[in-house]
Amino acid sequence: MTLLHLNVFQLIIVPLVALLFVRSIILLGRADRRRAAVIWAILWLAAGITILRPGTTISVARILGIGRGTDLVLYIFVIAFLMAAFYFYNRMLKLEAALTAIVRHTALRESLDPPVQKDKVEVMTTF
Amino acid sequence: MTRDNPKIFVVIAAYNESRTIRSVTDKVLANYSDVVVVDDGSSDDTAARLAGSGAHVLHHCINRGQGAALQTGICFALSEQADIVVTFDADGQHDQHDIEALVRPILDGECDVTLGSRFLGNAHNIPLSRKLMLKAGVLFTRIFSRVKVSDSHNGLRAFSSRAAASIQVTMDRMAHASEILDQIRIAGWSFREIPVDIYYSEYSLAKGQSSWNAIKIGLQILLRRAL
Repeated sequence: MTLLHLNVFQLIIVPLVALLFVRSIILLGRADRRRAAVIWAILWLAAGITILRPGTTISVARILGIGRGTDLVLYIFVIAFLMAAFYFYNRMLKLEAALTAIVRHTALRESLDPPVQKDKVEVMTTF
Repeated sequence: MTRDNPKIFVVIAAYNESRTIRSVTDKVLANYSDVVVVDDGSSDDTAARLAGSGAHVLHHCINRGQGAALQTGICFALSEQADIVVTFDADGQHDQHDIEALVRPILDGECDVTLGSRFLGNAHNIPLSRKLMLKAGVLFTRIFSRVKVSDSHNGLRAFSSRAAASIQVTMDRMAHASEILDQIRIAGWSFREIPVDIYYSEYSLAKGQSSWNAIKIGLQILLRRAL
C-alpha cells in the first residue's frame, strides 16, 4: 500500500496510533506497568490495523458469524463499557466505605480527647 | 444486663437540623441521661446548638449519610458499655415518651430488638403520598428482605447491646433502614413492633424523602444485591 492510497483520516490517525503503540512497547520494559502496557499495546495494534485495513473487522466478524464489521466493533464496545461501569461502581463502593471508616474513626477518637479550651487556642494563634 | 440501672443510650443522627436539634435533644435528655448526637458534617450550627446540653456530641468531619452517622453513634454507645441502644430522629417527628415502651420488652428479656410502627400507632398529619410511599416500602421489604413488619422505615428502634453489636450498617445513606431489617433477619434476633406516634410537620416533611428519592433508594438496594 502506497502513501497515496491513504485517505485524510488515515493520514492523521495512523501516525498518532503508531506513536502510542511505540510508547506502550517502551512501557513494557517497566515491571510496574507491564500488565497495563500489554493491554494498551494490543489495543493500539488492533486500532492501527483496523484503521489501515477496514476490511479486517469484516473478516473477523464473518468468522464469528456476526456479519458486519461495525457490529463487531459495537459489540466489543458495549461489553467493554459495561465491564468498566461495574468495575468503577464497585471501586466507588469500596472507596465510600473506606471514607466512612476514616470519618467514623476520627469522630470516635475526637470523642475521647478532652474538650479543646477556647482561650488556649486563641493564645496560640496570637503568636 | 444490669436490670436495676440499665444504661440506655439514645442515638440521634443530625444533618443540618439546627432548627429542631436542641429541643429534640432536651426532651429526650429529660428522661435519659445518655444522648449521643452525631453531627453528620452539618454546614449549619447544629453542633453549636448543643453546647451545654449535656449530650455526647460526635462530629463527622464530612457528610456521610444517616446510616453512617447512626453506625458511628452505635459504636460510641457500645464503647460506653450501653445495655440498650435506641435510635431516634432529629427532625422532631418522634415522641420521646415512646422510648419507654420500646425499651421495656428488651429489659424484660422478651426480645432483642423493638421497632417503632406508626401504622400500629398514630401518624399525625401524614400526607397521602407519604403514606402510600411508606406502604410501598413495607411491601418492598416483605418481598426482598422477607421481614414482616407494618412500618419498615421508622427511625425509632431499640436494640439490646448484643443485637446492636451485630449491626453493621454499610449503606451510608438512606438505604440503611432496609439493611438493618436484613441484618436482624439474618442474625435471627427476636424482634417486636411497638406502636409509636409520628408527628408530621412542614419541616419534617421537607427533610424527609421524596417519592422519587424512595424509588432511587429501592433501585440502589436491588443493584447492590445483584453485585
